[in-house]
Amino acid sequence: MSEFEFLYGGAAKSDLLYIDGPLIEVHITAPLPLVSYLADNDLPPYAVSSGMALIDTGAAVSVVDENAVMSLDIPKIDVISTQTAHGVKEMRRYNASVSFPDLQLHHVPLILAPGGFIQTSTTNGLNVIMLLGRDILRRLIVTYDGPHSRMTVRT
Amino acid sequence: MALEVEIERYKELLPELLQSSEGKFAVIKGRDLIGVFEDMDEGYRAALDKYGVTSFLLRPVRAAEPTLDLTNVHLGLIRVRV
Repeated sequence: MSEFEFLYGGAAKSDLLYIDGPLIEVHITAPLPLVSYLADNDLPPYAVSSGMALIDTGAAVSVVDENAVMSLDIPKIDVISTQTAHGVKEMRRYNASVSFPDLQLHHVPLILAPGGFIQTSTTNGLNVIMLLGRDILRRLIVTYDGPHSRMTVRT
Repeated sequence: MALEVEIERYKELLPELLQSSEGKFAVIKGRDLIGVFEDMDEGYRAALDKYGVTSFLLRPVRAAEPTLDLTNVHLGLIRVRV
């Protein structure tokens, strides 16, 4: 079992969990079939896109930042239309894999994850590149302690 | 729209696929049905082996697409570039 405590936990900086939301570092890269295809064909491995994921218990599926996956050149494998506050939007879908270095949890499959322009910065300038939805959270135990501004994630 | 040709082809094939392969994964590039696979990773790899690293359609064979619950995106609470 691995456990991670929110970067800015503790009373001294108690507003950061409230302002930025529960964050955990992620590395996004190609899905395992693509990794093995490149290795089998002596092609260079995929790069990794690193940033923060915002834990979003309101989302059934995780969303990856479109710019992050486009920079990796991971193939899109489906498209969906979604109704947003700004009208109907087309969202591309990707298979990818995500690693959580703080949990030593690697290559978790992201299946048909929608890509959205979600990138934003935290108070301390960290880039948010993923909304971590319930498809991944079902593997994890998350504790949100608002009064103490603490958030822990464990496997 | 991205993958427009592939999605149109999927819709053409869907009645037949539902009879023979519901719950499996259809993989289509252009109008070419690469195959129907039990396992998603197997289908993904088949597309790469035939066409290299390029976009293709990989979609579960089912009568209706499920609704995605993306509260933040729906409400525009996360910035959405339009």
